[in-house]
Amino acid sequence: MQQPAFDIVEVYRRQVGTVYRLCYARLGNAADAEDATQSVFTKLIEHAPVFNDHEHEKAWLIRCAINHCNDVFKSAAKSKSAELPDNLAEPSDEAASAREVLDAVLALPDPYKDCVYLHYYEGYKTDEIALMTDTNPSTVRNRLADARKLLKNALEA
Amino acid sequence: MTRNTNTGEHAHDTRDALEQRVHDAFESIGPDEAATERMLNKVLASQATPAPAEDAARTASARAGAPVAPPAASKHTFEANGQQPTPRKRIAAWKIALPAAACLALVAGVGFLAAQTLDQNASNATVEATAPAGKQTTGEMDSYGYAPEAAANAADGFAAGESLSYSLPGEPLASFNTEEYTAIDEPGFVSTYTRPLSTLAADADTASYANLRRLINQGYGVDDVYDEWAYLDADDASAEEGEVAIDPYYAQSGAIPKGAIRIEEMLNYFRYDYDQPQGDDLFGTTVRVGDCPWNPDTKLLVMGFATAPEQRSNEAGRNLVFLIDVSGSMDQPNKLPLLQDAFAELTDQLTDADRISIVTYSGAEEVVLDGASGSDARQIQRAIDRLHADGSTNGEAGLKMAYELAEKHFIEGGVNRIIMASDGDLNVGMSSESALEDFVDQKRASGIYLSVLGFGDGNYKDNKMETIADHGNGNYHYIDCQEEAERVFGRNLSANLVPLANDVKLQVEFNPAHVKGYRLIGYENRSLADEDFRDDGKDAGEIGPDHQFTVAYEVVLADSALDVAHPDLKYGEGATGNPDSSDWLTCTMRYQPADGSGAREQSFAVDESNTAADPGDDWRFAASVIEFGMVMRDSQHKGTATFDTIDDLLRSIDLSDADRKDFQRLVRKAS
Repeated sequence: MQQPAFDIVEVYRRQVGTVYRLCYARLGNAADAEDATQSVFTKLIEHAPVFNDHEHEKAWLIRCAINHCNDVFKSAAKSKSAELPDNLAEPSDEAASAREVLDAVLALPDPYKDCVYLHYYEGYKTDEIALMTDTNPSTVRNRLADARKLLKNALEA
Repeated sequence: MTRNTNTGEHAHDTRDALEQRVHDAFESIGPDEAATERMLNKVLASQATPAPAEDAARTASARAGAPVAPPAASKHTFEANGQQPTPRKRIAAWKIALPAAACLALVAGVGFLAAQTLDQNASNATVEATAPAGKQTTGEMDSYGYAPEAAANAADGFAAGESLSYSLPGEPLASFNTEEYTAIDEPGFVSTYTRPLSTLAADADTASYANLRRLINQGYGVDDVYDEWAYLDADDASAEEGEVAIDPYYAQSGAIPKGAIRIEEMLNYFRYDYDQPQGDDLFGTTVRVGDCPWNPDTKLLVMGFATAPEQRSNEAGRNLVFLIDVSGSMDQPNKLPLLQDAFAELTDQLTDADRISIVTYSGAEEVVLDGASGSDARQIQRAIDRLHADGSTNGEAGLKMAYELAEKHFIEGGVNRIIMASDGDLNVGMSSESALEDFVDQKRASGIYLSVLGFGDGNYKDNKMETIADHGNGNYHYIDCQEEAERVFGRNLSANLVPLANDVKLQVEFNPAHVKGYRLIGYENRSLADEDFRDDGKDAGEIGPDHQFTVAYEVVLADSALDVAHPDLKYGEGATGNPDSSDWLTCTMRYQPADGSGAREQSFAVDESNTAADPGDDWRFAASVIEFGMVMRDSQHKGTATFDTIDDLLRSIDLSDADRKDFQRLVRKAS
C-alpha cells in the first residue's frame, strides 16, 4: 500500500479536535462522533490528498466531516449508538452550563451548526465558511444571525 | 423582543457572552485523551488492514498517480469511479499518467464485446447450473442449503461478463465512488413527416429524483455533472498527452453522471392534480399545453395519467418475499440500518392473510423467514433486526431463492411480489446487466412481481437496479432517508405493492398537418418500437393503484419558425397528415388489467383547445422539473433554461406541497 505523503498520526493529533467536535455537533453524541471521526481520518488515509499547508489540510477534513455527517442519517445513527458500550466519554457533570448551551447548539438545524461551530469555535470568517460548506457568504451570515437568535431564545427561556 | 429590557450595551455584552458560552460548550465536548487514543488506534488499525488484492492494486495505483482504468469498458455502462477527470478549468493539482490506463481500458473493452455475445448463453448456463441446487427446501425458519460450488462454477463461466462491470471481489473501498449508471443518449426533435408515431413504455419509477437529491444534499451541484460520453471520447486525447488533471479537492468525490438524471423519474416523483379515471377506464388523463418556457418556437405538452386509489380490499392477502442484501457494502448507516427502519414501516401494515418471507444474501444466501403470517409482527421485526452486513454479494443466487419462496407461498388472486433491497453491487456470479435481464425476463411469466429498492452511495449500481426492476414488472425506488422510506412503504404502499395494470404502453400519433416535429422528454430508455405497441408479448411498464405518471413532449407546430430536419424520401411521400382534422395528435394507451380481463385501450386527442395562456401550477411545476433536468444535464435542448428561469417558474406557483418546496431548495442548492 502506497504510504501517504504525510504522517497520519501527526495530522490526527493536529486536527482530531476539530473533526470530532464538528461530528459531535452534527450527530449529537460521543459514540457517533467517534465513529464519524474515525471514518473521516480513514478517508484521509485512503485518499491521501496532497495539502499545501495545515489550513488546507484542516479545510479538507472539515469538508470531509460535513459530507460524512450528511451521509449518516439520524435514524441510522440512533440505532447504531444503542449497540455501543456506554463507557464512552460524555461531557462531565461539572460542565452543566456548557451542557445547556451545547443542547441549544445541538438543537439547531445542521447547516446552522456547521456555521456556528466554524465561526464561534474555529474562528473562520463567513466567506471562508461559505467556501467550505458550498454556500454563499450571505447565506452563512443569515444562518449565523438566525442561529444567534435561536440560541438566545433557547438560553433565555 | 418585548421582554428585552436590556440597553444597547447590555445587548452587546450578551452577544459576546453568548459567543464565549458557545465556544466553551464546544470545548467541553472533548474528545478526552482516552477517546483520542481509542479513535487513533482504530484509524491506524483500518490502515493496516490489507485490502483484497485487486482493490489494493487499484488503490495503490490511484495514490501513486499511476494508471486507473477509466470506464471505457462499455458505451452503455460506465462507472463513476473516484478518478474522473474533472473539467479542465480546475487547477491541475495532481497529475495522473494515463497510457497504461488506456491499455487496461482496451482490455476491458474487448472483454465487453466478447461478453455481449456470450451473455445470452452464459446466463442460460448459469441458471441451469444452479437450478438443481436451489431446489432443496427445508422447514420453516431453516436456512437453505445451497451448493457454493455451483455458484462458483457459474461465476467462472461468467468471467467475461464480469470484466465489463468492474465489480471487484471482496468488499469495495467505501470511499471510492464506484457508482454505476447507464448512459443516456438524449434524442432530439423528430420529424412527423417520417415518424408520426412515438411509442413508449409507461414508467412510474422515482429513483432518479431521490438519488439526485442525495447527491445534491451531499454537496454536489451542477458543476459536478459530467458527460460520460464526452468523457469516454476525451479519453483518447488525454492519453496522448499522457496526463490528465485532477483536483485533489474533488478527487475524493465522484460526480453526477448525466445518466443519473432521468427526467421522467423526476417528473414522476411529484404528485399532480390529475383527473381520476372515468367509466371502466383504468387511467384518468389530463392534458395541458402551453408555450414552452425554454423555447419560443415550441409548445410544451404535458400529459398526466392517474389511476384510482385501490378499491377492493386485499382479502386474498399479499405474498411478499424480501430479498435483502447483507453484503459488506451494506454495512453503512444509510444502507442496512435505514433498510431495517424502512421495513418497520411496512410490518405495521400487514394483516393475517399476508405471508412474509425474507431471504438475505451475501456470499451465501439464507432464508431468514419462510412465509410468516403478516400478523406475527414481532417475529418479522425480530428477523429484520437481526440482520447484519458482511461478506460479498451474490445477487443472482439470492434472487433465485426469492423466486422459489414466492412460488412456494404463491397466493392465487393476491399480490405476489419480491422486494429486493440492495445497493446493487452484485459482485459474484451473474452480475452483468444482460444476464440479470434474461433471468428476470424468464421469471416474469410466473406472475411474481419484482420491485427494487436502492440504498446507499459510493458504490451504487443504478444501472443494475433499474434493469432488474424494469424487467421484473416492478418499480424502482431509491431510499435516501427515513422520510423517503415512509413515502415508499407508508403512503404509497398499495401503489407500490399491488399491480393494477401491466405492460402499460403509450403510442402518440401526431398529425403532420398541424405538427411538424416533436421531442419526447425523458423516457430515453423506455422507448418502444412502434410495431410493438400491440404486441402483448412485449414487456412494458407496470402501474399500481393511486399511481401517477407524466409524459411530456416538446411539440413543433406546422407554423413554427423552428426547422425540423427530415431526410428526403426517394420513393414516395412521407406522412402528410389530415388537414381536415383539427387534432394535433392522438394518444393511445394499451395495457393489461391485472385482473386478467384482457388487453384494453383508451385514447384521447389533443388539439388547439387544450392550449392555455396559463396552463396552471402543475404544468409550470412540471416545466420547472424538466428545465432542472435539462440544465443539470446541460442538454442541447435546454434553450433559454437556466437556474434563474427555474427559480422564476417556481416562484410563480404555490409551493405549499412539501415535496415541491423541497424541490425548490434542491434547485437552489445545486446551482
